[in-house]
Amino acid sequence: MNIEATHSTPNRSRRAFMRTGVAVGVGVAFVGPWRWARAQAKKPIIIGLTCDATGTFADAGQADRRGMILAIEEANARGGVLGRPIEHRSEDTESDASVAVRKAQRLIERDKIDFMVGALSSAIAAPLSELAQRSGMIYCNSNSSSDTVTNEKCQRVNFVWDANNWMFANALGPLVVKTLGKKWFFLTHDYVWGKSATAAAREVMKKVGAEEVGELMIPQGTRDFSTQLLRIRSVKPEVVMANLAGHEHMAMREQAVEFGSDKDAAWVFPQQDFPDLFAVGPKKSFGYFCTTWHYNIDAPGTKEFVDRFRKRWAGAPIEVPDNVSCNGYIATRELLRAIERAGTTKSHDVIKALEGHVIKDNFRKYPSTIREWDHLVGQMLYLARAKKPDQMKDKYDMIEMIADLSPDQASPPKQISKCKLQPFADTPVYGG
Amino acid sequence: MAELITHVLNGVVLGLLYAVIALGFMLILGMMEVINFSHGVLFALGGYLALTLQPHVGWGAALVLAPLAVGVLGLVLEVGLRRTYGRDPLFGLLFTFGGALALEELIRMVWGPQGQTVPAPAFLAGPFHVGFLFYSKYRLLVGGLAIVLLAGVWAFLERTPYGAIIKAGAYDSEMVHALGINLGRARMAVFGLGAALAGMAGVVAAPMWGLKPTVGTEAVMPALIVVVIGGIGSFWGSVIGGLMLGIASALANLVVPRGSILAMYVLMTIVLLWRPRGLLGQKSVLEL
Repeated sequence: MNIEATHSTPNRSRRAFMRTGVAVGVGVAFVGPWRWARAQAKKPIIIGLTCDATGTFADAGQADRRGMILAIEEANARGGVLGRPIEHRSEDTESDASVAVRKAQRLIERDKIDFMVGALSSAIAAPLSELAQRSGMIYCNSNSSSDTVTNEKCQRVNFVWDANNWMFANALGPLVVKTLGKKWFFLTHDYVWGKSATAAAREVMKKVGAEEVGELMIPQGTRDFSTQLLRIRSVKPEVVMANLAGHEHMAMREQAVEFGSDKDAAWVFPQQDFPDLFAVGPKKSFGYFCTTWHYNIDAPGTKEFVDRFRKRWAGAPIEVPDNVSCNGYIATRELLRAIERAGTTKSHDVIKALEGHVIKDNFRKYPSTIREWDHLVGQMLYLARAKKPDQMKDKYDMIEMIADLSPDQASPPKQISKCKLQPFADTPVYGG
Repeated sequence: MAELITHVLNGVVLGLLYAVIALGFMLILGMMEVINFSHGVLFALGGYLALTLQPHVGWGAALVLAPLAVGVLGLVLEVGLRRTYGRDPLFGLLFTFGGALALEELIRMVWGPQGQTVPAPAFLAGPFHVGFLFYSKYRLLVGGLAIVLLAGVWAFLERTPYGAIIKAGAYDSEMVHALGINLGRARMAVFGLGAALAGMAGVVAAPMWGLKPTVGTEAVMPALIVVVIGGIGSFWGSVIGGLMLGIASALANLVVPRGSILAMYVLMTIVLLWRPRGLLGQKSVLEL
């Protein structure tokens, strides 16, 4: 018995071991992939936010970021995208193209971001879109508006969410000639966006029968505009087309009031970002401009969006959404929705989900369309002017909309596009 | 011709303002042999303090109180800087650089990163016309204030015993010390004075240029060029350098607007090729 027992015990033990082994093996075979899949499902989707926190575009850059973060937080509150949480990594691009490229590279290599969103300056947006194209990563250029990034420098991975200079100039030109005057003087910010804006305005000038009476190039970093304002006074134009952005824009507005230049001519700011206007305050706000959006537009969903934004960003320098933060919000939200539609983070699939997509809940009267041939978001525009302090209902109510143009009226037609998007075969696959 | 005169006037006013910024920078550099990287942020701080004070005490009082507060901060900075005296000038430079970064961050924390505007006093708002001359009322006051300030600093340096100590300290600090004069206190006073001048320039410049946390960095660059052009250790060097820079920049704007910033550097290059120590400069820490 003892011998049997002695022999049988190891046998039973071996069988038990075998049974256990098989059971564990089967368990691992089923549970392993399930756990792996679960882990994968929980792997966050990381979005790199390239927004200026310092430098000339700091105010607008942070407004842009507020919109993006709200979109990410709302997506997470709904359970994420494809069951995965959304995380973001922010970098201050410092209103400087070389810094922006370095930091974007760091986001790609160190933080392993899946997508990238952000840009105020066209001088930053163009190299970032080229960097993104080299890796195949989708880049949503939320707020830069030089024509070049949707023309000669368009990229398959780059989507441009703001309206561009062609749109602003063509929207304003006829109104300016009809109501303000035909002798135009240009103030041109001496970088890609400013030059593109003046070039677009010159094209329109020919069409509407206006005449150029002078131009001053404004180097980036200019703080004192006294000489330029004195020059404008001596030239006596009917209209000053001021293509200036960021802190230069603010400084110029302040000094124009100081010199009384705001009364010397009619001022037109073809593109006006609200953070720049807000920073100078209502007493120094003047002139006509174009904008894509403001928080008090009467359109479906606007009130709810403004309420959510105000709640999230109570105490922020600008507590309401404006044209910049709205672009940041919609760009990020639509990117996340496209991932959901594509069912993957694989760049080619997400690009296809974005191309041609119509955005109906864009807080505007007319839907916007992500144009598949140049990746410009075709959208409606508002012609506007600065309100006087006594017309304002609250401190953000600085803009009076005087007319609007539908996306078809406002957007550049396909036949004038110089964009040739790279074929998918030449665009690396990123993510997934 | 009328246009040219207006532009020259504008250049003179800008030059006087640059000279005030540069003078504070130059005093600290000349007396203490420290390249004060925090000078720009002290300029910015002057503007921000005026922004806060102005609604409560008015523009005139803010014009006095804000530079005083910045001057006191300068005294505090000097206490920290003392450890670097007699050592490699790099230590002083790094200390003030670190101080500048910390103060700029403080500005961001207190006043926010966004741009801000400071209103000019109501009676100085807008332009004035006298015959062919058209100019900003406020800028004319800035020019006048700068002349008063420069005259005050000149009188202090040239007509008071304290000025004599400061000048002697810049020339031979050991001898001044051997004469029983408390050099530490003199240095502290110079740093405070230099900081207050930066603060004063910040207050008067704020209604023209607006405010943002980095405004000082941009303002101090012309000041550094002024010091290099005028020469280290020379009061009149700073004044002449400031005026030259202001007028050159204004005239360049008139002729080649794109080259207005370039004109500053071209002027500096020409002066340095002709006189490597600047127009009225003496041997200094920059030659180490």
